Amino acid sequence: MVSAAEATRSRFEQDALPFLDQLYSAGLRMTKSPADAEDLVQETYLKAYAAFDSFTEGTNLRAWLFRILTNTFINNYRKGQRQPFSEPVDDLTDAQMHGIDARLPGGMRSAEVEALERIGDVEVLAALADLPDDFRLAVYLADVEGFPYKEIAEIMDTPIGTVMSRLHRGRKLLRDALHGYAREHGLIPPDSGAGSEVSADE
Amino acid sequence: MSDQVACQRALNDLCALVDKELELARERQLREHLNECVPCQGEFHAQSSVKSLVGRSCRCEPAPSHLRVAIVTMIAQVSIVYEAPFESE
Repeated sequence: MVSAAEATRSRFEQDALPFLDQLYSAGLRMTKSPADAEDLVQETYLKAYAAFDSFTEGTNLRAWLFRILTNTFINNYRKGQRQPFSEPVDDLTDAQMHGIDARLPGGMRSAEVEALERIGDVEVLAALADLPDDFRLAVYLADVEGFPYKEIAEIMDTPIGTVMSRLHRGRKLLRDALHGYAREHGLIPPDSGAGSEVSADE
Repeated sequence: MSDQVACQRALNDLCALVDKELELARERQLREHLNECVPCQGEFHAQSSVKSLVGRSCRCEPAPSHLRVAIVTMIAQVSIVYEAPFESE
């Protein structure tokens, strides 16, 4: 006869374990260290297993696991760490971040897009790793895992507006970093790019 | 609505457009604006390309096999003492 605990265990292994690679990959981007990612993921599975009875079957198990992963990361690995941007950057408005004057004429922009697309994965990962944690997490959850805003808000335990501004700011910082890299490596001519030619809208 | 205002509104919503999170009516309106406004359209392409670059670069990294073994072992060990309810999250 199979006990209830045994049934729970096999259901957990069958349903939750297939997310191991995804959680480990996310853990790597969070902690930036394979050893820490392993610890983080192992603890996540332990917590998830302990709380598995409280998980409602039929709801989003992937989001639930990512929520535990994110909480564990925030509680364990960030403790004592000073955040590079601990000021309330979340409150910046989009207008402050992307003023109309910051736009470039279309021709310049397509040069930027072409340059961005030629940048290697290693450089993109390095730029991502340099983002403040909250921005990096939001960008990762949206752009790699494809979670909708509402689920990212639940995973990060924050309002949707905060998710949006973290995404917006995170991508802006990434873009600036990649733009700098592209310029340094001659992917963009030095006399073009952000700020050099401002489009004044009539 | 002046161009200036339309562009500012567009810039505010571009991120949500890139993420396919806009309501249909607003999306339609914004796409109309992008068709007519080259700088905003360029901004949209730049933001989209940053998003797809991140998706492209962060490939799934297979977890080491010893991690999988460690987790399965841990679960089995926890199960033995599982009769008492665990403290949940």
